[in-house]
Amino acid sequence: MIWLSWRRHRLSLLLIAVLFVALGIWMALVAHWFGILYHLSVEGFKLCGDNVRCEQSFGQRHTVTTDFGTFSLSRQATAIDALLLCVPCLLGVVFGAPLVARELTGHTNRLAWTQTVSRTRWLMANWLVTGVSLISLVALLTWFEWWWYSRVQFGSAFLHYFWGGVVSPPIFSVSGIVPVAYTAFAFTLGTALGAIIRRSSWAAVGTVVAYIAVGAIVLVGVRPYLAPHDFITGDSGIFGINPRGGILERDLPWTLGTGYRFAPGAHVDTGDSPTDVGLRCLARSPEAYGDELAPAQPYDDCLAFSRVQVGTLYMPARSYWTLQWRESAIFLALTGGLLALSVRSVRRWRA
Amino acid sequence: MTAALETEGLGRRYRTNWGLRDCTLSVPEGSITGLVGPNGAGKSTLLRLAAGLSRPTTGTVSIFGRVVDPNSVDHLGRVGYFDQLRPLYASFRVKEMLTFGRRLNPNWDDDAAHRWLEDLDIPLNQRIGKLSLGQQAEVALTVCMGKRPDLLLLDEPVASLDPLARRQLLQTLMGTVAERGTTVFLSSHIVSELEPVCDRLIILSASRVQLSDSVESILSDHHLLVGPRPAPAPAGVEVISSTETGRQSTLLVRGAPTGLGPTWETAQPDLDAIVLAYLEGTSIQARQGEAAAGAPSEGPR
Repeated sequence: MIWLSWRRHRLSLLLIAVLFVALGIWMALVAHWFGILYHLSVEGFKLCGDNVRCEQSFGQRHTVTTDFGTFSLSRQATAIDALLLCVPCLLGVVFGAPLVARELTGHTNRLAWTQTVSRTRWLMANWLVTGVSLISLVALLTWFEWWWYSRVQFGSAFLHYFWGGVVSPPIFSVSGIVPVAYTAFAFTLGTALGAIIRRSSWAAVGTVVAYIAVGAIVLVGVRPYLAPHDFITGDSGIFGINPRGGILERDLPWTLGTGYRFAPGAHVDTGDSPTDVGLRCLARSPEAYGDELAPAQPYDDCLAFSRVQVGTLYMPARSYWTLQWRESAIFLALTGGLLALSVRSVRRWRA
Repeated sequence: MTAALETEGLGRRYRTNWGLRDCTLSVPEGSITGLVGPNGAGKSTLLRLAAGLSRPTTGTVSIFGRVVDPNSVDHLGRVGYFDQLRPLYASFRVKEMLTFGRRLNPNWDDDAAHRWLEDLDIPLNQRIGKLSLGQQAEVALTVCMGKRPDLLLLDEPVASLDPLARRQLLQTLMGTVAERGTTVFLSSHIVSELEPVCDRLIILSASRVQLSDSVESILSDHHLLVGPRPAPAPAGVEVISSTETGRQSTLLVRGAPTGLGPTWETAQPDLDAIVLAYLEGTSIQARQGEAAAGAPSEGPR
């Protein structure tokens, strides 16, 4: 049975491996160019001395001129990151959706399901052979991505403005072990939809829609709550939060939003901007303050009187692995459910 | 003798149409039974139900005394199923189809499979997609027989093949079947294809079994009566079909007619005529009676 599933899928697996290698070469080139830029910048700093303007101009140019033309490295690095984000969903569409559906539309299931092999075993072998191959490829790619990220981050402070540190979504979702869990999930999602809808094309559409929906729900509604937050009061920018200063860029926290609490150590409520909190503060007891509020800054004064602390909620970088393990566990649990659904659907299929 | 295949009130409904309805039949072990009927009679539905690819809406279907369970390896190992679409993996080479058979069937007869393909002059290195339709059918049949099934279910095995390929395929089939004592249940909508190979015949029409008997007794039981018109129905026979032309009426009857007047002539009909009579009879019934119930349908949804 393993022979059959390997024989059926080896060509497309090989093709994906080649594409991954091509992506890796591109990533290596971008990392290499960033390295050259960084080197130039360091040289530039020396020339500029304390001139900040000079530093910025070196730090933000980010273009590299080769024999083939001039490239914007920041843009390329962002494109690579976006591509890496799409990889699991793409594999779900290319391998998951047709896994069962293609057999049904080509009627080859009638051949496979009348041999001396149960349908459950047929599905499990196909799912395992393809799934394990894909997971290995994605694991390799993710490992390479980690190296790449460490190279690229030295090259550009600019990227951190968009990417943040390791717990921020652009890096978190393409590093560590979650890409593997996403791949298992997307692939099994495609398999289940293909088995239920019985058409590769519609299953592929469904895979994309469901994957994006689940991803968005997890990003907004689940991941922020998988580990405790840091609550930093005061109007602190993300670069100012470390009292010692000199924070490593990869350790930048993930900014979750503003919050407020009515006393130090009290429960932090989230979701409101400082202005909203100020308005709410005024609405709580307008009479209590009498004339004590300065007309110029009523919100701030009210907040000060009520001892309301407004601050920013962060997911600290130290929670990286906690988040990685917990989120992976969630996606693997979803994968298990979808696999059970696929098996059920295949066992119940009838012409 | 146990039945290789037995159905009891078997029915399968596709949404609103019945693909097969109230089908009760039995295929004795060791027999080569032909299943004949017009397109849409429910032949494929019946074979798919027996193979476990479909599941009954009503009734039961059993193979060697056991109710078919499509997820049971025991069932799958005993039955060889040849689909009318002859699905094969088009990108595989012929020898890879044999590997497929060997890897997926513990009882695989590799020597025999190679021998058949050699006899049929099918190149082992050729891709399935590049073979002719006849060769594809032969490879599909090889995969089917290679697993050494006790019951072979063949759905339209020789349809769309040229006469030479048809004969070759049936020869390969019959040679092996005779050697192993395999029960064969094969369908066709052309009687002449079945006549030379079958020892039993089941006529399925309007998704019901019209006749199930050995070819020998079917031939000896039926008579063609030609007499003057209007003709009173002769005693002791069942009239299957009657046609009236001019002043003559022609009856195809089952049973031995007794006490016929001198105006009647009797003749021995051939199998083709008998089957046609049954199909005509049911098509009239179908038009009269079952129009309201919806036309039966065949084939995949």
